[in-house]
Amino acid sequence: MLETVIFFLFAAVAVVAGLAILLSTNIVRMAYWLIAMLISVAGLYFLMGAYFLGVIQILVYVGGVAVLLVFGVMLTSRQLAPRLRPGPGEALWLVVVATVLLIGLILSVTHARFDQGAIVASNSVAEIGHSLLGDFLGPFELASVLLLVALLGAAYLARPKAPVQGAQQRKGTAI
Amino acid sequence: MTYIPQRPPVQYKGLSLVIARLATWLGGIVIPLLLQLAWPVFIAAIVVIVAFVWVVGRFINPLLPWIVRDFIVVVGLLAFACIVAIIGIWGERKVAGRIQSRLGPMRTGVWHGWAQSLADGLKFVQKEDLIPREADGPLFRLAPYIALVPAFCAYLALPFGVGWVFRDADVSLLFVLAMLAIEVLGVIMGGWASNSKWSLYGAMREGCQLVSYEIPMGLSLLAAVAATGSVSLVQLGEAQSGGWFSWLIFRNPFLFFAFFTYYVASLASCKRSPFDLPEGESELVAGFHTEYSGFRFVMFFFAEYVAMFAVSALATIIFLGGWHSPVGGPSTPLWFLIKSTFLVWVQMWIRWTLPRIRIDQVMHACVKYLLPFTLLLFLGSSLWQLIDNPTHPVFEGFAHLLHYGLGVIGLLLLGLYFAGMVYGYWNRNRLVGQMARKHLPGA
Amino acid sequence: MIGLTPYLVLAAILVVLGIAIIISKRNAIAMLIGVEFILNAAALNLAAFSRHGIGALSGQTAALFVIVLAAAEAVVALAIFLNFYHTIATVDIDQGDQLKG
Repeated sequence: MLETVIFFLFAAVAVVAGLAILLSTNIVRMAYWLIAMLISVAGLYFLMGAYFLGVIQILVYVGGVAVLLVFGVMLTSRQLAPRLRPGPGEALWLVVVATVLLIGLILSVTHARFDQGAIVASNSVAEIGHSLLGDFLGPFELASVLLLVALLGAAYLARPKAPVQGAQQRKGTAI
Repeated sequence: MTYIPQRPPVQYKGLSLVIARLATWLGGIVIPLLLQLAWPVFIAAIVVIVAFVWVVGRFINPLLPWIVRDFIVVVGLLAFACIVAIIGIWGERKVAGRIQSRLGPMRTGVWHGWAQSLADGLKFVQKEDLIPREADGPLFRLAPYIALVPAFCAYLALPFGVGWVFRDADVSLLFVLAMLAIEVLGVIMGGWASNSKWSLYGAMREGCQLVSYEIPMGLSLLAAVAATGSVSLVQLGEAQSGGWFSWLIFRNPFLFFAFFTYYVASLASCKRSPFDLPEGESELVAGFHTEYSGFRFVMFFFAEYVAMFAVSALATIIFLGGWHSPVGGPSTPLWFLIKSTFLVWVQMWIRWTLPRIRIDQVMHACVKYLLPFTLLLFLGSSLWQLIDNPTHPVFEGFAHLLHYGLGVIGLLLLGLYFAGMVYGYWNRNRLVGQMARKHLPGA
Repeated sequence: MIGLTPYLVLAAILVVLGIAIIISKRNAIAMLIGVEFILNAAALNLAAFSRHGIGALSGQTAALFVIVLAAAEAVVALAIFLNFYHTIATVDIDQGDQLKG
């Protein structure tokens, strides 16, 4: 029973964060709602018994990716509370598409039959380590190469350059 | 009175100059500090904490339902963290005073100004709650909580002894690191929401610094994990039972240096001097918490001291044997408290001795020096497991000999440090010069 | 005990929210936030399946790889957005309608 309550708590935070991002117009608030969603998903991982995964989610996602996003927001937004508003036609299309997609996904998920085994209580870090260096050795090495490439590529792309002539403000944007 | 010219002090050059300066610094300051101030701060801290734990322990009865017991323990941990912060603030001002040849707070409370923290708390609570008009209201209010709450949460997984831990998780080391990593976001949010250029500069610098120094921190700890094979703090502590020479700091020559790199990286992670550019008082007014006054500022301040103790506690558990006694007696949480308090005191000592370094020097130190060095330490520690393997030892008793040998070498190095101190103290007249000698703290 | 279905439904809702964010926002970084929603939903799905015995441990390990890849992708995306901002002084993607530069 307690597990159900905690699950709905975390799930509610994640969904409310998503809705708040949809309805918000301030990019900094959006970044912090994303952080709320990431932490609630980490909480769900803890609830599932995937402790290592939850801790890595907080360390990498919240402590790395979210910080990076916040830096990006601070570097590219030129005022404190920029306004972003979709038009009415766009809003209608959005609601239609989202509803159709949501209904389709939920129906398919609830009507599918998975042959579930017993619930695995929790996996120790040693088992995950063995699987990373055993079954998943290929993806592990590839992921490290990928991270190296991403690091080099991003460092090259974001290098300081001479200011571009004519980088003036385009009309009609206040972002 | 006429001026009587003295013999000019000896002119040192090169290496002997470095040694002379180091010896003076060590011997002129450290021994007086140890003899005059360290003992009241230590003893006060430990007496208060032990009394508090005894009082809390009386309430925890195994017959209560688990949720009530958990609640009591969590409240106890919160109170412990607050006590740590309060004693830390008072201790910092006393230590700062002594290093600067003055006494520090002496009046509030009859003995050595022990009530200074409480008086500060009262002062901050009754201040006006100022929020700048152009500041982002909800984010401005939320930022101190995001900085403070994860620092408290780190205590949930910190073991004070075997059985003295709230939740003995399989991944407690990573959990503590994760909680300390969330604090970055609170500080950045505080700087941004203040809508002030100086706060924003402080927040950006601080974000860069904290996130960069998490890597050497984690890598040094991973070197220790490679030596023990477990990420659980209780198991890391238990792997160091059996005398001082089995502490992880002496397990491995790489781990010896890993302790120091971890300590330096954790100084940067707590925004302590010499890395306290985010709060540089002389440069940015007060950095990211410029616009915060009253209780909101107290929360940022508390977060710093709570994180300081958490990081020192991590260092003691992983490198210095945690709750095991070095002299062979029962392993109690008291030893854990003594070692952690000692490391916190060393942090304060470093803050009031070394000058601040610039942000580009901070980033260079991390990326160019600490990061490759810690990578080497991690690699070396992992490869060392091939030699120090318990199931296939090189010869019988090799592990024992290795640990004893490395322990003796480590102790010799520490002994050299103390020898330098004593040499500096003994020769302080000759090294410093007659006219400045009267102004040394121990004179 | 929570079964498998609540986790899958939550992941579906998060995916739809992410797609809605990507569709409706003009700011490039807001779109990146939407992408993070979708990746998190996928990882949640994988971990939930692993918990219920389908695929043993590979679900959690795959979720780990999703986190790693999401980090790499966020880094490169932000570098590209910074370039974009450097060229035309805004991150409004509606203004990115020329192939020059």
